[in-house]
Amino acid sequence: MKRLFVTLFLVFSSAAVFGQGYYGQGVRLLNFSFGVENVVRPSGFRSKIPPLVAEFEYGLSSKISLAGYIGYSSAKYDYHNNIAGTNYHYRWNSSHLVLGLKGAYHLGEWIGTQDYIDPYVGLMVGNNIVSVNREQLAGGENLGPMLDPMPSSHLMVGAFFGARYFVNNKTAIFGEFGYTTSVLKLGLSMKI
Amino acid sequence: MLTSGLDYIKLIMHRILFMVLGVAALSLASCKRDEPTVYFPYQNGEIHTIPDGGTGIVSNVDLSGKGAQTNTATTTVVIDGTVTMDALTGNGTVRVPAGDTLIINDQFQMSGGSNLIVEGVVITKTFSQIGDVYMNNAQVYVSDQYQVSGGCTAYMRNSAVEASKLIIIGNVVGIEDTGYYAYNVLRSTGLKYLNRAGGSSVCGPVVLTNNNDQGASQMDLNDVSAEVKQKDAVLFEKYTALGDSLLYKYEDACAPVYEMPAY
Repeated sequence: MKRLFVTLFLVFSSAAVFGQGYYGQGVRLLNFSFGVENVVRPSGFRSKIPPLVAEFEYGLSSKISLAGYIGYSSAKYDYHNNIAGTNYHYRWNSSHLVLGLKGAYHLGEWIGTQDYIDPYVGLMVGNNIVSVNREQLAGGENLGPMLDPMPSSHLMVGAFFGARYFVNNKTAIFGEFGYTTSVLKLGLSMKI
Repeated sequence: MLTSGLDYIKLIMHRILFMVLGVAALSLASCKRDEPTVYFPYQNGEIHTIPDGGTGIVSNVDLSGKGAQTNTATTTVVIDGTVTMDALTGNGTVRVPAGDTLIINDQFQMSGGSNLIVEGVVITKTFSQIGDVYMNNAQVYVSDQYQVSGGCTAYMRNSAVEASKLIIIGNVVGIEDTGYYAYNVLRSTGLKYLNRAGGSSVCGPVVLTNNNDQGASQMDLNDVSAEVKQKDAVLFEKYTALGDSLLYKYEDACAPVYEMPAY
């Protein structure tokens, strides 16, 4: 985690030295990111594949943008127990496809950093499409265990803030905190 | 007073960074999540609801007063720990693993086509065996009547059965394990009633504590006490201490069975 903060610091601080990008109306971006601390996985599950997110973002104005959002992650929950003298091991695997929309308000122009860095805050709505399967890795007869609560698909609402730094007029790197698919997202933006 | 635009940007960056760190700390601190609860849907008093081909587990529970338990054909019930039931009718498979105990207050019946696998302990008032029973290092205590019905087999490996009334209409097979020769014991207690029907068979290393067969098998029971004492002194002394000074064996002409059938 410490390394993440250092990376984030570098992302922000580098803007003071290398900034040369811009954000505005009509800008179209493809954003690719990976997440740390998956928040869409079911309670108690551990991450297998961290959240991987692709977004198409469109600048409605120099301050407001909309983005279509698709994210994928997977997680697992292991259950071990000695039942009737036999060691049982069950694993539940969950996969999460998040389809959503993001709206962001860009603060760069307001705080005067638009030539260096693009801070933003926003909201997201999406559908977390969950699929779960159970496998038995050890033990005798399949005892058909169930989970309570059983993970299921659901709508989600998230909020986030972050900052994007344009390395050049075509490419940017960004970091984002909040409740979307992960607590922290780090990624790359490309103007198209 | 800020001296340049660069200082201004640095100030903004610092503020953002502190804000980010604060929110990140709060977010990560809240990331501890409750574990889900794992449960077994067909356990305890619900074994009749096990779907075809499924397995249910009955774990450390006293179901006395809750009536007879029944599992359907093609389903399996696994006993975990010590389980007490009023009565049990097994139509599928019932398994009592090693270290576990099944106590039936009244009648225990394994129906035709069913299987009982005992690696632990079964204690019951009556036991009517119509399906096959596999006893592997098992102890079965029947306070009243144990009947091995016609057409079914009780396989025994290093196991013991105690019953007040022992009725053998089907077959009893002691496994002659080549690497692990051990006697199996059919011990008469209480009424010490033994009735072996004609057409039945008792094969392999199976010894009895009773030679008073009141059935129509016409098979003799030979005193094998000396042989047992020689081959397994511990077992012989154990039953001697229980008051069974002599051990007997039917001398059916059977092909030896060297391995417990797969169950």
